[in-house]
Amino acid sequence: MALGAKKKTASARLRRWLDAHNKTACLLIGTLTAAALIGLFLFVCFSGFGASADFIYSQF
Amino acid sequence: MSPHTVHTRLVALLVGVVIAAAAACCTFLLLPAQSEQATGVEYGYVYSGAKSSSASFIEANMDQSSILVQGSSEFSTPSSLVPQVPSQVFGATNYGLRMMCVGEAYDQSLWHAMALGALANGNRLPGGKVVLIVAPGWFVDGGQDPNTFKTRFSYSMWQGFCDNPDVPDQTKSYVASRLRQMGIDETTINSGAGNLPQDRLDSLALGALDDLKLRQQLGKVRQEGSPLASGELQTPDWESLRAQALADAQARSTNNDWGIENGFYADRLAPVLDGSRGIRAGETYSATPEYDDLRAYLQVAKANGLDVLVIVSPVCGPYYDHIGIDASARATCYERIRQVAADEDAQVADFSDREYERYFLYDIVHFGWTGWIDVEQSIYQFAQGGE
Repeated sequence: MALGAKKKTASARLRRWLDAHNKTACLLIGTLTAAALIGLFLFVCFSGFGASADFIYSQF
Repeated sequence: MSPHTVHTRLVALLVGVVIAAAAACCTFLLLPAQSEQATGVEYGYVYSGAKSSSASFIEANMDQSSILVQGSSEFSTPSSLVPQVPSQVFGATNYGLRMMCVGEAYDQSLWHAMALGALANGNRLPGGKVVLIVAPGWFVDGGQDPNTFKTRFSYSMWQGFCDNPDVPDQTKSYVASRLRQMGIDETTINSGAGNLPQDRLDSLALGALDDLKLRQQLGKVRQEGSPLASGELQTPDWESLRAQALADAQARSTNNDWGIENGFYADRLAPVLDGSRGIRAGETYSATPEYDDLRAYLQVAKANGLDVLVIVSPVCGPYYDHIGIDASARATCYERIRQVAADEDAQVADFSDREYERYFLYDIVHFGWTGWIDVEQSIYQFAQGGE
């Protein structure tokens, strides 16, 4: 069987499984949404990507 | 997918958003407020960008014996190299004066104008006095590199500056235009200065984010405090302090004729001296907006009823001669600083004539052993009401 056909089968199986287990799907959606937003929030607030540089003597 | 399934999954998505929002709100409860302070602890000499950017923290850690001193990298000099730094003089002995040092490397007149506007709002500065330490390095041709300014930009200070009703509109407009030149985006500028609904929303969001960042960063600052100077109130014996400074300097500067600290000379200067002759020739200290920024700073001070002492720091004369920035260019810089200060009625403690004095600086630009004693004496006299 070609790889593309295997992929289609896998995604279709996943979709069917989620349709059959709606509560689990909702739990996954809620958890992933919360995790993604919290991760983004923590990165923006605390990652220090915008922090100031250390002093270097090259300023002379 | 049935409508019921779509509906339930949308609800799940919304629940995820609500949980994330609740978690974000919890961080405000978990992190101590910026103004939270510990009694009996001195933070005035802690070298920190977070501390310098938090008007609430600064205000909470000043009292009637405090004086605001704004500057830059000179505050980072370690006491292990120069025992005469302010933390070891005013921070160690009860001379009745506490310095609140605000600023770090790359904080120049524009940054300090914003900070002063934020700090002075509502007459919150004790004693009605402020000190600004300036150096020729601020006034190089071309002005400050916008990239370094952006790393230092403080949204909180910008917001506080805009909220100060005593700062003239003309000065606010000038500072806003300079921020644009330095690459600060319009959304940020307008959130502090604008009046549209979206500006207010942006202000809320940016203010909340900045508040959280500062709350988190101030945790480290709170670990670096030292006990407040205590004991009987004393008067500084400047002659004795200076004599000790000279002795310390003579012990720490033995490998060169310029009075520079041994380690700095051996590690940073000696290896590059031969190749650095004349490399800065052509510097004029004239093609820069820094003088206008300094004027804006002094106008903010004047509008808020503050007396200002401008301390003019020298550079290492022999080294600057060596790299080609001649004495006449440096003299022009010093004179323009003095003129701007005179125009805006500021007092000046001018140390520009100490360029060739050994031990006044410990490297090529930062106050050294005797330098710090003389600077501290000028600040002390200014705080006491002398000139």
